[in-house]
Amino acid sequence: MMREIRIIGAAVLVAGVVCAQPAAQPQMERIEVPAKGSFTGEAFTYTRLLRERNPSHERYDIIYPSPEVTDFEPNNTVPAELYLPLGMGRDRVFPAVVCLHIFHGSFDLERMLCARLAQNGVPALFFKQPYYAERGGTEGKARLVTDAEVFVRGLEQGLQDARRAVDIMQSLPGVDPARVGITGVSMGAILSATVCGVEPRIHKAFLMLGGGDVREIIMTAHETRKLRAFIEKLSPEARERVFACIDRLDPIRASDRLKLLAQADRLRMICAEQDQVVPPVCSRRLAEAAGFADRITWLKGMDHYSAMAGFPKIMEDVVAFFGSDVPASWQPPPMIGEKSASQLLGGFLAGLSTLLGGEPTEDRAHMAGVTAEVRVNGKQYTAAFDMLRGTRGRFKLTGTFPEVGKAGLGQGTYPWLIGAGKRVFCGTEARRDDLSVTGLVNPQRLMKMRVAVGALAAASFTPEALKQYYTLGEVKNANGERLVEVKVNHKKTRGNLDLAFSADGTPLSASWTFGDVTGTVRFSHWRLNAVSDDALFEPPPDLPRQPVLHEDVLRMFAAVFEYLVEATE
Amino acid sequence: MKRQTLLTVLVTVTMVAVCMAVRAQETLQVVARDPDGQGLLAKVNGKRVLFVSGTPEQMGRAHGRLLAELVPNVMPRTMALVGAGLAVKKGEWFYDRIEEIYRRAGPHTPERFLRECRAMAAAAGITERAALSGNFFPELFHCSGVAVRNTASADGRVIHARVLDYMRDIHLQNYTVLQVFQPEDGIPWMSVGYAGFLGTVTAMNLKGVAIGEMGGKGEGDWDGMPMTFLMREVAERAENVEQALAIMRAVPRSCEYYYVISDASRNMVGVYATPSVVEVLGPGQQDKRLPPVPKDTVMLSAGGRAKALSERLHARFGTITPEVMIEIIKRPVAMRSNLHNAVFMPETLDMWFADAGKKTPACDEPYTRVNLRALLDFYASQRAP
Repeated sequence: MMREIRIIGAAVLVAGVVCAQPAAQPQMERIEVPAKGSFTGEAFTYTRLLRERNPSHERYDIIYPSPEVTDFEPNNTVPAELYLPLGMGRDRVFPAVVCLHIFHGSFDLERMLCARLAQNGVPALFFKQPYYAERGGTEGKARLVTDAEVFVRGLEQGLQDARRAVDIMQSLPGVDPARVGITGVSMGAILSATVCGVEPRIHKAFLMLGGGDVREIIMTAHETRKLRAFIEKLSPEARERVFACIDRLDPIRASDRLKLLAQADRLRMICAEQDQVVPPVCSRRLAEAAGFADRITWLKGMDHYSAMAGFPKIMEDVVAFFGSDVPASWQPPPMIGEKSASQLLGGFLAGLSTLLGGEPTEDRAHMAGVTAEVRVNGKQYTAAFDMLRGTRGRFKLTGTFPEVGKAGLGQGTYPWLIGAGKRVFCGTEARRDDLSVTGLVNPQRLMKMRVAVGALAAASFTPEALKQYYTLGEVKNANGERLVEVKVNHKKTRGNLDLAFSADGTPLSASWTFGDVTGTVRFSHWRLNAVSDDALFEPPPDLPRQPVLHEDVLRMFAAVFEYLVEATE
Repeated sequence: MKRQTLLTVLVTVTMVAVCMAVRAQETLQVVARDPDGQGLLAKVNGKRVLFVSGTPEQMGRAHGRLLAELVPNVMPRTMALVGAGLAVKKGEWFYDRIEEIYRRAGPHTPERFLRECRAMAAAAGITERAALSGNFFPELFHCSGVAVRNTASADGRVIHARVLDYMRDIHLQNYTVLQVFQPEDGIPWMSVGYAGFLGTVTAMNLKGVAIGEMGGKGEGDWDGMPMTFLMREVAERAENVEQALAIMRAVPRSCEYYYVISDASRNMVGVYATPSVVEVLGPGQQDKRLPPVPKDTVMLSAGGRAKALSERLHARFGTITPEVMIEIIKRPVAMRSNLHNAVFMPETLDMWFADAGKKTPACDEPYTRVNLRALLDFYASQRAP
């Protein structure tokens, strides 16, 4: 899932992110979990520190002792992050979720997922697996593949740590101990399924892009090449020990528990039809073992990475699945006063993803008027255009563009193209109703666009989950306009982004400086799901028309679309 | 024992020689084979190399099969992009123009090329119309060509360079293919080309005839053999510069083009060709349209690019090797739109070529060295039962 993370990061780099209000002088709390609440039967103490309070949730840093003590001291302490909804109360009625992270160790995806759950009334926690981040010292997770014993014990330790995370979630005031679920993506899904087999307290499981037969996944996936190389270099005896451990912990062995969950409709699996990391055959094997084979939700046409295109919908499914246990009396905190900078930014990202990829409701359209000045390596580009997106593939784009000049194209009752301001080429000849622009675009490029839009949408849900890459400032103008200043400090990208909003939160402009690229975009209008009229999608009436082949115009649109996607890669 | 030792030495020497020959043009790896045995797709230094041989139908079919994933990206997709640009900028409908070109130039185009084109289209899963559009769309290149020899080059041998400055921004470089043709009744030759393109703008044949073109005016004069097919005709038929000129003079020509042609006998010329005239510029010959041309040099370029080229040729006079030539044709001789470059040595059949990168002109990209004879030997070895 490393690429998803980069995509999310890139999406947010485009628009920036947020800093929520830091809590005033947070105090570290020491909390004891009594022996009766611990799966080991031994009491333990963990610490928690309030890191931030957002308008919708709180985030705490948690540190708890691993039940498994290894020779490497830093690995014996488990760092975790806990996300709590606001207004939970102390009645033990809320569900809770433990989230297991992906193979890559940036934790962005888990932060987004946990924040989204908390925003919707579900306390959520993720912890760092053995040897990940500070648990691995200066070597990080690479330490896991230095020795067969370390590897084997690390795998088993991860399960113990997950069980202790369940202890913590069960002990939270407000949480119903009988409703602690588990979720994860990719490696997180595989481990979640395994945990289900050893931890009877798991109430629900939502597995994303997971599967069984881990040995096959490790020995074939590109992402596990270092692990594979490590295994292949081991002595035959050590290799056998490692494989025996992998087989013992394979989620397929958790089939009994998974079957119970499936029978009670407390299991979900979402898998990618073209997954190249966790092959669909491995997903099916796990589902078959769980008696769930006919209930997998397949992401059609997507692979392990392009699944990001469907991630906003998946997140909503996860929220709905666990959120169904949230008491009806709990409601998200009401919006008081004006939107926070974080909310403004989230709204902008959501609007952008809607404008680019969201289908408006019937008889409505998304509209934007844009003037842009961009300087790249000293070369200035200017553009001014209006864009309109309607239902059923209708659109219109007219204005002045760099290198091209005045231009216009659209699709109303037929596709059309303005030629040098002199005439309109109308695709009315030999109409092919079986063809569409999206059908003619190379599926991989179409997917890239969908992935980008999906990443924007996902980031818009919880921009604060990625705040480690950004700092945010805010200025309010005398006329009520608000300026959100974002300083991006990512190891690969540094720069500034300023977003201006009207008093009601409508985007007015965006200015940025990233390396040799500077630019300003102003929005003369920005309306989503605005009332529209069919006539808006037709070509200008005052130009002479030249009928041309319907297919030729559609192919030109598809080629231009692909060209633009390529240009942004 | 002595004979065995001698044999061992001979085998070793032969193997070393073969290895050195292969290294000279970097290692080829087979990617796919035409099931009919009429083609091969290989890679050298990460670049695609297409071999086709036989009748026009056999070559076209092999081309279409082996590049079936790439060809639709060029035609119709890239052609549609070019068409959209033409429509928006000039208000002209690309497909109307293509139909006119085909109607007027088709009768002057050798039938074997059209047969090959149809076979390629069918095998690649594209329409005949799309294939013809791709192969007949008017090439308005703005390029440079130069050849040096004798006192101008370091060792007297011909060093011939061609710079193709054309639409790097439409990403045609994603579909580059070094094409090696072995027609049943023609001279084997290679082209720095693109998937689905059957003509050429940059070619050298096994006789050592090398040719590159530069576009001029005359757009609309389409009652002749399209330039890309005329160059292919030269590549498949001409054994030297004189024969190439004879072909150019004999066929009906279209539009206005400039060419630099060289051969293995160290002959080289610049050519100005329109439907009505073929003018030849000899080595060292001055022309009012050009800045000073050094001795033993033929050059064709224009504007500031020509000036820079002239200055560099004078500065490096007598020291020019392929490596020096690669430096000479860097910007500003090459334009930002520089799609590909090639440097030929007709006497050895070596060629160094570079394609544009995603955001960089070809002149700033690494060059790959190939040798036409070695390529053909490789193809023969792969076809051998």
